[in-house]
Amino acid sequence: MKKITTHAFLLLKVAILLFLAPIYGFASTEVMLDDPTPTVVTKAQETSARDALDKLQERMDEAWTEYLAPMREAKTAEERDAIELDPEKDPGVMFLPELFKFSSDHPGTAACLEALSQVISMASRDEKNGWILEKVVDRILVDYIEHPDLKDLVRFGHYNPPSAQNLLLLRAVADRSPHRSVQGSAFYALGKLLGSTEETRAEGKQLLERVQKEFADVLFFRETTYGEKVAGDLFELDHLQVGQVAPEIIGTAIDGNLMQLSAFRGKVVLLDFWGDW
Amino acid sequence: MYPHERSLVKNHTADQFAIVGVNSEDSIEAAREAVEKNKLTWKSFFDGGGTNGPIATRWNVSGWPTTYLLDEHGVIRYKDVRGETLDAALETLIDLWKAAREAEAKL
Repeated sequence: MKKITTHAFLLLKVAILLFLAPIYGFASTEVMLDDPTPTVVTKAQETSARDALDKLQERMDEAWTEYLAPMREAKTAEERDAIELDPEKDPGVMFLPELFKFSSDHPGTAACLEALSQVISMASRDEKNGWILEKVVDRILVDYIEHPDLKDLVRFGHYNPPSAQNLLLLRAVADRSPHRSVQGSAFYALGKLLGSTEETRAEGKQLLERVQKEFADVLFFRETTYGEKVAGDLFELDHLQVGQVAPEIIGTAIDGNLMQLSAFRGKVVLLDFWGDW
Repeated sequence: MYPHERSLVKNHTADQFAIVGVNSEDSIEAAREAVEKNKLTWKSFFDGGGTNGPIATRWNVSGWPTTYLLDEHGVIRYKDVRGETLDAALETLIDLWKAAREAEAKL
């Protein structure tokens, strides 16, 4: 009986190999067909890529303006809430193929890296675009892993969902970038993403603590360092989770009176951080 | 958001439920104006002006609106739930609140 099972298993393995062969073959042909990245990008190439991206960006901005016009024309919040935009016409989806093509046409340029960054956030919004995400991550890891501008791509990586591809990208950049500031950004975004899910929260916290120890002086955005940024995130992980007592707030209300959050004990409370913009 | 919030306040009694705002408008004048314009009936902290105020910083808020739903003991039960999810979450907590009052009445 045992022998038969082993035999059947072997047959199955062969069948799987036979089945996979054409796929692997296809994949490697495709890699060969991809434009080889020039090791040196000339100034002229960089300029022409920049111009092309600016033009594409302009058209995208126009599409967004048009798409969101009903929102702007709404007179009241009620009217705005009632508007349903057609997801099929979402410029974030419409321009995906063009942006991706742009990245093939201008390999190695800083503009290309910017385009890839946009593709990642757009493709992340819908699972059916996972295959694009996969290709983009591949391209980045092969062609751009040493690029200093990779920081701009990973800096806000935690605003994308914690999909397998996004996590893979951030892990690889954190481990393999030769630039300390790129690494710090990748560790931070990865820590934030992992920290946002219950099952991976402990690992996320460890990574954020590592950022605090090793990358505190690295700039996150404008004047803010990762040291400043991560202090708030660690506080959130430690004290602002579901199941924890909300920290006290004591302050002045808009009407000028003193108020404190704990005075509302005994009622269910919706704490709403808001701004009318 | 405002119409939804107004309806939440309207559909519950004041001893069951309250909205507590933390406002990050640039100035107290702008905050007063926003309250008036949107007919907000609930109270808000004024966070000192701008999005880097002490409360938003401590609560690590980086997007607006950010919301927390607390039960009657001040425990965080839901974060950033909106729309129908918010309605369902609130009803769960209100049911617990009602059950607690009933249990107290029996004592």
